[in-house]
Amino acid sequence: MKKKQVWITLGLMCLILTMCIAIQIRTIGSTNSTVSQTLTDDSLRDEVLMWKERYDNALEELENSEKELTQIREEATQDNSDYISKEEQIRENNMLLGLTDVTGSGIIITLRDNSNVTADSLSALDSIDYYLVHDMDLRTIVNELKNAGAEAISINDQRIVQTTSITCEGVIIQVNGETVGSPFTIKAIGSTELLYGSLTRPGGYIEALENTGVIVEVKKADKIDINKFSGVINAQYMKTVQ
Amino acid sequence: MKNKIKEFTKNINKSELIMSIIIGLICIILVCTISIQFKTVEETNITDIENMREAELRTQISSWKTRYEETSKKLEENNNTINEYREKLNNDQETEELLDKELAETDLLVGKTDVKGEGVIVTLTDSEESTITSSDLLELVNELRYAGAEAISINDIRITNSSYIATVNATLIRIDLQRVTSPYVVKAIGNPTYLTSTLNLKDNGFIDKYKNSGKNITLSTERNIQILKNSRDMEIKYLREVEEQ
Amino acid sequence: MIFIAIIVGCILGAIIGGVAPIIPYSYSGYLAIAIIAALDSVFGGMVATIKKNFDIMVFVSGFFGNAILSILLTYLGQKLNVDIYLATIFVFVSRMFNNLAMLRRYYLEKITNRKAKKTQNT
Repeated sequence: MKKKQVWITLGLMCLILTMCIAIQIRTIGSTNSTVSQTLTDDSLRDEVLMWKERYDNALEELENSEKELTQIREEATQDNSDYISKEEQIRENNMLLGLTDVTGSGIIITLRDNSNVTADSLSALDSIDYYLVHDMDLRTIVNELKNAGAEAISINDQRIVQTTSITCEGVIIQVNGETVGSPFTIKAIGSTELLYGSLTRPGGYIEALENTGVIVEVKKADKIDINKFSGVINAQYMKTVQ
Repeated sequence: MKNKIKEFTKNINKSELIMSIIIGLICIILVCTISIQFKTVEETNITDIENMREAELRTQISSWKTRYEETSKKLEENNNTINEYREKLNNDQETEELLDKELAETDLLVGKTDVKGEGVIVTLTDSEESTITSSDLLELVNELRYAGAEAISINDIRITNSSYIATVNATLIRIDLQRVTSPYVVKAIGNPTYLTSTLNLKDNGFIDKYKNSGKNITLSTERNIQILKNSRDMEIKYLREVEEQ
Repeated sequence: MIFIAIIVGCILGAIIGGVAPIIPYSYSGYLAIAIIAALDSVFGGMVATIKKNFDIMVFVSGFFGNAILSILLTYLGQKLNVDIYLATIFVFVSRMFNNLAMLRRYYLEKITNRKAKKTQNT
């Protein structure tokens, strides 16, 4: 008799426990509580990483195929001078587009947010904005470099190509859609003297930036390597006019 | 030597051998999972997605997706060209055709040809209260590139990768050595929907921002825009290709 | 022999892990808990060795059992809206600290004993 009672109690407890668990799971499943929010966010993160991985793989394959293409093009054209000049033109175009790793002399500019200044140490008339590097600053410097005849430019290893935009979302600066942060290293290949002279001229933008409080360093270099653009430049909407 | 090995194997008793193998396997599993976990966490940190909310994550997904699609399309094209070259390696006539095709393609991208396509035309005019500056144009070009414009021109001067927009004597605007004046007609070829929606973004979009500061700006979508080629010859003086090691 | 097995195992594991693809982000939370549980078993095994009551079956079953159990508990916590994994981490890490303290004391004693012997000899 006693044993039977124990069994019944145990059975009842099991019933209650499983019932509670089932109810709880169903409640959580149906409501948009914080937990399920994290769950959906996590699955979105999965998807981001998945697509990024696919992109990375495709990009790697693309790079390989590009190498192969240059090679076979060379092979196909090697015994005809007419072809060789065309092949060279294709190479030159690719260089202009920023699709090859290039090297040459030029200047390296480093822009740094002034970390000695905090919001508290400023007077009322001052603003922390003056001490930070903005997307506008980068755009202006890139424009000035082009003005001085720079042939290849990169910001933190993001090559500036014709489809490059330098934008800012909140406090994050993006170049080619990739996030870049302080310190900004801007490399430019071209005439060293011309680049250096026109960028550091009195009243130039670099001087203005320095005066507002950003830490700027400009140096000449004999050999600068600039990586190629890691992406695709294509023409989906434009067609050649015959 | 052989004796030594025999002695060595004799000294190892069987249970110890099994134990070593088991412990070795466990080490493999443990270290393997730990390094996988490290890699995953690192990847998440690199992409900054740890603290992102739903909307941001969704835009991230679509941006990676488009990039992936673009890349794989280009990859396919490349592979096709490689195969064509292979097939035509011994036929001069066809090799030349292929070369011409490739050259034409890169010329198109660089901006050495006149192009046409759908896109938008933005017109900026000086008004009495404010004049258009070079940095306005610079920002507009940047915005158009962000929205995926493939070819841009200002007053029929093609904006290429090496183009610059400068102010001379504080008033004149110069693009690639040529003077431009108001009205500035900025043509862009690209997806018209993306272009207009980016420029028309409420409050923070280019058009709202500039209208609020009292500037004259109009935007129109066109089915057929012609953009002239870049007339400057683009020469390479300082760049050298990095040789493969 | 065992040391060789451990070293070879660790190197092989690092290589395999380096080559293996990353796992989906939503699973990395579970894997982290499993790693903590497995590490706890490893330290437990080390303490058992110095106490001379190491049993390979206990070790292996603890290694996998704890890992799987902690994953299941974390999963249950997700479903029930309770952060069970916090408790799991607490238990495992505090046990790890205990075991580490035991190991430390054991080796310290060994070293001091050896030093004492040396001074006696001279």
